Amino acid sequence: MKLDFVIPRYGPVGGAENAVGALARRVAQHPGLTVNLHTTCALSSNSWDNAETPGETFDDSLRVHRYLVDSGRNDDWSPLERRIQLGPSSIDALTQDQFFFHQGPVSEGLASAVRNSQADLVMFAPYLFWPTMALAPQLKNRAVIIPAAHDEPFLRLSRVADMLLSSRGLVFGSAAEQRLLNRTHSVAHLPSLVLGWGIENPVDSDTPIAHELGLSDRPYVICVGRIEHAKGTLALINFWRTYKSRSPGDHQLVLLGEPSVAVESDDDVLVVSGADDATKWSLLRGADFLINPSALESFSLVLFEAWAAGIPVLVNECCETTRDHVARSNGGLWYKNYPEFEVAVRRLTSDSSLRTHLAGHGEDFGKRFYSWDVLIQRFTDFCRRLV
Amino acid sequence: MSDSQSDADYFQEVVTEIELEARRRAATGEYPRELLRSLDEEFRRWIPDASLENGIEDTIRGIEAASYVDAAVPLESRSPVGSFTKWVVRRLTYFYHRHMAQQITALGIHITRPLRLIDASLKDINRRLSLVEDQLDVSAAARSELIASVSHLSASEGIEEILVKHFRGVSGRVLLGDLFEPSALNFLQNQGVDIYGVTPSGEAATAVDIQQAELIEHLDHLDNNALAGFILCGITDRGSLNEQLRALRLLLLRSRAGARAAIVVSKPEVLSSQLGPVAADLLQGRPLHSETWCYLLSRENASDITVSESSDSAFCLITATLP
Repeated sequence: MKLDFVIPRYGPVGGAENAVGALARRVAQHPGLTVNLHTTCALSSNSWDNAETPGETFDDSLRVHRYLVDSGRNDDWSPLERRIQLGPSSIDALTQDQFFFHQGPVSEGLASAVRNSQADLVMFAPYLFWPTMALAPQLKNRAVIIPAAHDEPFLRLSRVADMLLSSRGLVFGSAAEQRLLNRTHSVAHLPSLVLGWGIENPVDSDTPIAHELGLSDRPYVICVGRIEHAKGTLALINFWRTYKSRSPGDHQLVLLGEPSVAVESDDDVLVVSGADDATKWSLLRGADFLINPSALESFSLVLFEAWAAGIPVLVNECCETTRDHVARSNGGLWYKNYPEFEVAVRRLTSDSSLRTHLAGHGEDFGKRFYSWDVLIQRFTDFCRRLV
Repeated sequence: MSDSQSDADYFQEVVTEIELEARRRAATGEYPRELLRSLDEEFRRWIPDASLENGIEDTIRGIEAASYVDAAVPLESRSPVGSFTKWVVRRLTYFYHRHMAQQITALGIHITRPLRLIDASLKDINRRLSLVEDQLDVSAAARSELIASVSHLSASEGIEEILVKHFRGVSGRVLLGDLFEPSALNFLQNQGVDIYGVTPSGEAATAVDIQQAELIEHLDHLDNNALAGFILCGITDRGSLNEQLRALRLLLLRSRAGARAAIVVSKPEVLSSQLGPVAADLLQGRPLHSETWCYLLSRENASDITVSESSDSAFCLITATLP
């Protein structure tokens, strides 16, 4: 069986792209499968500037093809995005096409490779970008969509419904994501699989990053992911600063990720950007717990990374996906307003036996349901059935 | 008590403690109103409406909070002259700002009042519905145990070959629901039928192309003509009469012209003898006779209506082709 994966960027960037890239690498090791991954040379979803060399490389058994981006984000994107945010149901198809064109990354090389693909199935992820929206409908019975969707105005666009309905099947990160798609568009009858994502093995390292950041003798909690409004990071910073003003103590909040909005580091909040995997794992292991403030998650791989690093998590209760993970695993706590956040943080920072207890449950949960063996078996079974 | 149960209890205890303590702090006025409002504003900005547990109430509170306008403009400035200037401007314009603020606050009250009335009316309807449900649903716990035992009956023995023959050559998706064990589905998939399952059970949903959902809820999400066929089962043994008829009506709507239909139903007398008289009497629903299903299908102008029996004579399979 031949499988192709198409994602807008490849590397340790982007939650969904990173997870699908890891899936492609693992699937490529499976005997009897020929796997190619097609992507662009871009790494930044803010600009889609070409950052990698075009051409073919190997990542373990995975053959990676990179193509130049012809056009990325420009000034036309922002007004279109704002218009859609205000009322997705009233946007005509032509405007939607313009939005996805400017959403990018547009690459004729990538388009040509997809059109000429000889694969039995072509997996597109995530739904929101031009390669999926423009190219998947051209393959009809061979396109499988990995939407990585959360509840946002873009998801309700009619073009998204058309694209999903033209696909051969859907792969979801969580049951909550499947429920969301089923109630948003009439796709419940399509072949589908609730898969979830696996995590790469934690990197063992003695990186002195914690020491360099002044954290070696100071307790901290960590938030990993893009620093932006939509991910809830700004709300978290507000909550955290309020908490610190009401409960002065040593704990610091470490924000590990690329900032889309400017956040100043100070005594309470430390921003760490441009970190590699070794740094991430080192900081995760040293933290008391991880906070994921986002209400818009399709899976949240970072929860599983935290559990693998031996720390519990605190999540936004309004996010069905992360709350489901925590409720099923007993691997953390949740909050839905500031008072609950304050009490939960105080409890987690002061009770190390509770932290150990929760972290252990989270780790067990990850191993039981999202180990690579389980995921790859289910994924390949699903693909065989579609073929 | 098992380890996993005591872990779950401990987890629930911690969650409850946190919620109660947070509620207590909020109720004692520990947090200034202005502070909670500003924290809430950014927190709620990116929360999907569907995830708000108490949507209308929260929205009304949000409007109320947002319509409160503080006429006392902040005076902080990097220079003392700036602060003083702001103070002078505030003193001079305070009468104006207060007048405007009062009007905006009044507007907020006028907007939230009808919303509160609608909310109260909806809550009243919900309360009455709950009362009706309670009256209808005597011994709900006992029933759910009974339903669980019925749910696990396997209906596939001796009818698989008939199903394969009936669905052979069908082009398009065939729905099997309610499904409780995936063997019939797997068998049909292996025979080339493009079939998927819907199950309320989380366990069965781990298999390929089986979705965890209530059958009627799933059918509500489908477009008309989305299905090339269906196998209705499970709900035919345990659902109320209304549920069974609703499931059939929705399936007929969602099926395209010429779709193949199959209904698997326990024989009422066999089910009664298997469950015993008490369980059979207390079940919310009971299986309809195969004659009834034939009648319902013929009323929809279905053709080729055929009734077969499983090898142990416990089940009937009714097959038909829709007009």
